[in-house]
Amino acid sequence: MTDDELVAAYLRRLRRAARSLPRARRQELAEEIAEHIAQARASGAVPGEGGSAALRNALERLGEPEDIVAAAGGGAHAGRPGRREIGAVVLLLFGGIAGLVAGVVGVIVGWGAGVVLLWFSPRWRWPDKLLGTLVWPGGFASLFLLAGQAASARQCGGVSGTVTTCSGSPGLPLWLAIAITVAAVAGPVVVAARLLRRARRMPDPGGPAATQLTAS
Amino acid sequence: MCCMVAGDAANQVAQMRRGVLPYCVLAMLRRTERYGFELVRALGSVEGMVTGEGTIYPLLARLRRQGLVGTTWRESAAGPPRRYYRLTPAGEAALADFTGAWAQLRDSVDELLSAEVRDAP
Repeated sequence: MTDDELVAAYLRRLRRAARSLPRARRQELAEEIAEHIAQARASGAVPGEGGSAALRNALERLGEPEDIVAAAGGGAHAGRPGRREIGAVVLLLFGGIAGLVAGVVGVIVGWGAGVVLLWFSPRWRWPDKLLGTLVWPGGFASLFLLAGQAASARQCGGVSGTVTTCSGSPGLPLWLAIAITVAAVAGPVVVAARLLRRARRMPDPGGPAATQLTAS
Repeated sequence: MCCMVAGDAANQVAQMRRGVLPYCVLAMLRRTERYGFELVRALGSVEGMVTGEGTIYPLLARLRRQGLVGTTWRESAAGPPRRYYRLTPAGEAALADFTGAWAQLRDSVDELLSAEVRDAP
């Protein structure tokens, strides 16, 4: 392997490991390390013989690319939602439906398991957790329950031939009913997408929330 | 992470080292500005301070984002322009705070450790 190939291979490894970092930071890190290597080669290496040895030494001093990325807050498992996060989102949406056979208690248990996972995950901050809990309690199952209730409320209790009396509130205008249905279905879908997107983000140790310097 | 286990002193010390490393970087910039490569090499040469020089770059980026160090690009006689690091007033304040706290902690720990030795049968 020539020196240039050695450097290219090292930087390739670095970029691959750094995939979990935000794009700007990944780029910045790769540039800085490339520059460091270039300067090490310019300052230390004797052209021709011994060049490779000096370069290998410089790369060894830099350390493993994976360790460098880990120091930047990225890692092998960073950048994608964990099983717990995916489980939480799936249960929030469908856990209630799975429990529907067992009635309201089943809905609460199925959806509640999702809520517990949601609040125990370190990947989300509390506003996202609150959003995930409130839109909507029960997930899609609550839509079923509400729709069922609305249908029964609209049942008319008249005997044919007499004046028909309908119990419950008068029916909503069609456009409003459609709007509510769309919002009710889209709400949890949008929130679930947002939760999955947020679960990719790594907690930023240098962000405004950090009050102390950390090098880890 | 939470508990002390016999034989895990090396691990604890490694964590402490990670904790103080940012201040060591600030300290190296106290008197003079330095360019990245020089700073990283100098810190990498201090015995037992860093395991890999490459890990200092993310740390520098963090200090930059926190406004504790500032950077300037300068042309260099040989090769591409270099990024020079210097301490900002916020960085100076953080370093001064740490220097006082560290001296106190070091003295207290030293005292306890040496007392332990004296008391031993």
